[in-house]
Amino acid sequence: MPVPLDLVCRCFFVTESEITELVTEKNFTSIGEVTEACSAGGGCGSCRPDIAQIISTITGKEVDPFSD
Amino acid sequence: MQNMVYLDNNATTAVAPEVLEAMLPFFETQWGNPSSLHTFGSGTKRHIDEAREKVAALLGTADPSEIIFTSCGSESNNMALLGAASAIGGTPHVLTSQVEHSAVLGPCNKLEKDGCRVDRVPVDGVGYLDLNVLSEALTESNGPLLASFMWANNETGMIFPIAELAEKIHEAGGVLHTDAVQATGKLSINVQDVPVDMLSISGHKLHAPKGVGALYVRRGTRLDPLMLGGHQERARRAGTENVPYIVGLGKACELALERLEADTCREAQQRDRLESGILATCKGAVVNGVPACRLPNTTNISFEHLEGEGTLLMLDDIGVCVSTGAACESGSIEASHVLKAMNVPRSQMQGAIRFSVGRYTTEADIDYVLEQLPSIIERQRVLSPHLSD
Repeated sequence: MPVPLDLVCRCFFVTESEITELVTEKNFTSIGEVTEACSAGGGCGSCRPDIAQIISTITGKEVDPFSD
Repeated sequence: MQNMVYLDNNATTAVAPEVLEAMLPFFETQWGNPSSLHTFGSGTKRHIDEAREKVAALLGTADPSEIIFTSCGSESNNMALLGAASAIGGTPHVLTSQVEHSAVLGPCNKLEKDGCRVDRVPVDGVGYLDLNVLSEALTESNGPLLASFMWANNETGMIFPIAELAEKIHEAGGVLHTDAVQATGKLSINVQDVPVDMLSISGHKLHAPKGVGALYVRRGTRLDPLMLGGHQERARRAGTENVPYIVGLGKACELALERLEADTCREAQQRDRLESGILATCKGAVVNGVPACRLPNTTNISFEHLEGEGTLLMLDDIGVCVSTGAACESGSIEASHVLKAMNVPRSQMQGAIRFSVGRYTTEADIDYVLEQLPSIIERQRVLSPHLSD
């Protein structure tokens, strides 16, 4: 199975488009909410800065990658 | 009774047919010694190199010389901790967690006996590492630092934030080893994204045979060999190479890389179906760990007021293989050190069962366990001395 080009979370195979959709639809503002919903960011944590960036871009608010 | 249902893949996995097929020529016809000067022997060296490239590819390093073949995950862990401590010299400050496998805790205990300060960072009630305690320990650290934290826990499947740990340990000038024996083949591992210095893997956890493992050692990391008396593995691990098993590990890593996403997604669905079915039908069932942060194949479920050994034996009677904790600890009435560290209530601790699905788990396997387990738990509850009514 080819790895999706916009893969963000390598532990749980969650893509940027999936996270974007979740954050937009559910009005998420924290990484914790994203992790609870789809596991992204709940593994090794190397994608937390990327998830923070996605949330920041959508909400316009800065998110600390390791705050929650 | 149907055929065996094997839900103990964190203990060991079946050797993949492709792996066995790749290994056989090295027993039958290509059994030469890689160190021999003649072509028959030295010809096998190429196959070791190919296997090394495949292991390197699974771990995300472009430099195969960073891979040292060992006899198992435990040897890799011992080599990392004792070899790095020896190379650092003196008595480095050692940091680890309370929930590591005994193959990490054992070498840490030895280093403590040798005079090292060893801090074992606790976890909270669901198995998250207490990062505040870790930060305090790092603040107090003023000499050479050697840290070892598992990538994922063998009993609960809880995944540690290894990327964050690497950042913290490196900021403090330390060296970080991770025991990735359970994570490899179940999570995507890339040592470029997650810059650990050393990483242990075990063949038999990812469909290679028992008796082979590897240690990734980032170029520049100082490591003294534990096995002396030979030039093999660039003089980092003496002893004639176990060619068939090394070839098997290479093939297993190649398969793991190819199948990672498909296997992981299917296993997560099976695990979730098993878990939600058990929670819905078995009285007193509680999951240990946090759903979002676990290995995709693992669930650790406590059945309140029951003895896990009894449940395990009744499942064994109907052909279902599970574990009450780490396999080597089964048979002992002593509760799991992992669940103890999580402060799991006493009423739940003894009744914990680990279910770990794998590549060859079928939907029928899950159906069978979901069909049989509720009556087993009910019978156990009737027999339990801890339940008076």
